[in-house]
Amino acid sequence: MNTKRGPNLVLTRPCSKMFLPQFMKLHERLKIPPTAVDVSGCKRMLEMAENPTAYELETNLDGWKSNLPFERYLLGIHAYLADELDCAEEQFQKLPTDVVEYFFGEWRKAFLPVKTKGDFRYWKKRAWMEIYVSGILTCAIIGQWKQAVLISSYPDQECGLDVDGKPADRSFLLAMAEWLTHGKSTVKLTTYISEAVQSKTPRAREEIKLLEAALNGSAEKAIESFSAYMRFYQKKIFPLNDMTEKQSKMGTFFWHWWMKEGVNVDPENTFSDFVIRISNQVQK
Amino acid sequence: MKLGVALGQGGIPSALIFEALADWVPFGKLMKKVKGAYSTVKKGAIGEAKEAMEHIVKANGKHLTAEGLGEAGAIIAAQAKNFKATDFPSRYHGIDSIWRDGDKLIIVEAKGGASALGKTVSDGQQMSRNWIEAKIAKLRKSADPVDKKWGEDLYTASTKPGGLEAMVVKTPHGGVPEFEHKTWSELGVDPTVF
Repeated sequence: MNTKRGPNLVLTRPCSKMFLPQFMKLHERLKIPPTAVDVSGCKRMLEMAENPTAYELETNLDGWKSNLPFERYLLGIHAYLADELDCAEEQFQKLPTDVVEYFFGEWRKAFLPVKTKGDFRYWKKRAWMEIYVSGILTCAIIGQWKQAVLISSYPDQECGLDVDGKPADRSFLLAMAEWLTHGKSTVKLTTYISEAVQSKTPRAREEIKLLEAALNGSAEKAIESFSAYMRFYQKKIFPLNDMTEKQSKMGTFFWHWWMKEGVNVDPENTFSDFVIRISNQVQK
Repeated sequence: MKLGVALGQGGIPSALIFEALADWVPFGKLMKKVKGAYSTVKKGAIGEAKEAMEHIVKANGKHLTAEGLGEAGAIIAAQAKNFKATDFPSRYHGIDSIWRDGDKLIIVEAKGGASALGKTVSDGQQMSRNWIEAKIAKLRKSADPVDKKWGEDLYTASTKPGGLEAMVVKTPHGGVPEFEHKTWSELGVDPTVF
């Protein structure tokens, strides 16, 4: 197995022996053009997001709060694809804190629009799906599982749909949150799983199989579901015109989750180019 | 190519449609007549466009789709507001067109015939602040550098007072373009509706 080493990293991406990692960057192996991996543009946008204008703070505090983890994730994924691993790791380390601040920050109390008449449920109707995914994903990457549980305590039945979000994806994410907070099958979890399974959204149906394997607990099922999901990902999700999908979100999450449980679901590194790994350090 | 066909195809930058329409006599005349006439008006109907709209419908007959009619109305309204066309590629990301007014960027949504602003299942009517933010994010995530640059420009504009605005133009069959133009902070009063 080939590996690359960075100054702060124990072990970085393994990759197939057919590639020469010292000569090929990840985005080159994945045939993503260099123009699409614009790390400097992402750095500039994150810097802007980290230093909001007075106008933004005054008129669009919630938009800014939700944008910060988005920009950080965007930079993290671009940097990872461009092999700027220190930069990627820094973003993945910081991102869960941004998500916690967006979901639970004190600012929410002070920024309720007048029409809500002080009803905090207003926030449940605002964007959460992508932010939640980026939160638990980066927690998994850096091994901060307690933080993943905290972030998972936010989504509930009152949470609406993101613009462009699909109901089945919402059900899947609610199932993930329920599983991560309770660690076992519950009535709610069964309901969410059944909603996602019965949907016409192939992605949610495939992702549920990963979750079901985790609930089942068998290493054999885990390897089987991971391989099946990654084949689906390569065929249907990776080709999307969306840079945040150029690494598998749920593939990455469950790869780390199973590693924590002592199971390597990709022993031959068949899918390693699609799974974000910045360190082999596992924290319980 | 018939105007209606061109207008109905979608994905054509407003600048190109604008140039094609400007060469067409009835439209060209109208453009000169209304140019900048509504630059300070926030909401209104462009009565001067009645004759040109009738020409468009007559000249293109069944080829004129509701989308095409709406697009033509939006171009008239943008001209009346004295906006400059851009090369924003509309394609699939949901934003119809983007225009410039000095340093300001204006997102313009065209509605033709009986169509109205969509209400998504989520909390965000089409052209609401929530909706626009989601569309900007989609552009930012794109693997296409042109889309990505537009996403960056739109986001940057939204952080400055008066940097980003939105306008909806409705053009009913047999009617004239009716527009409503809002600033970013006006859209923030209720981020779920236009």
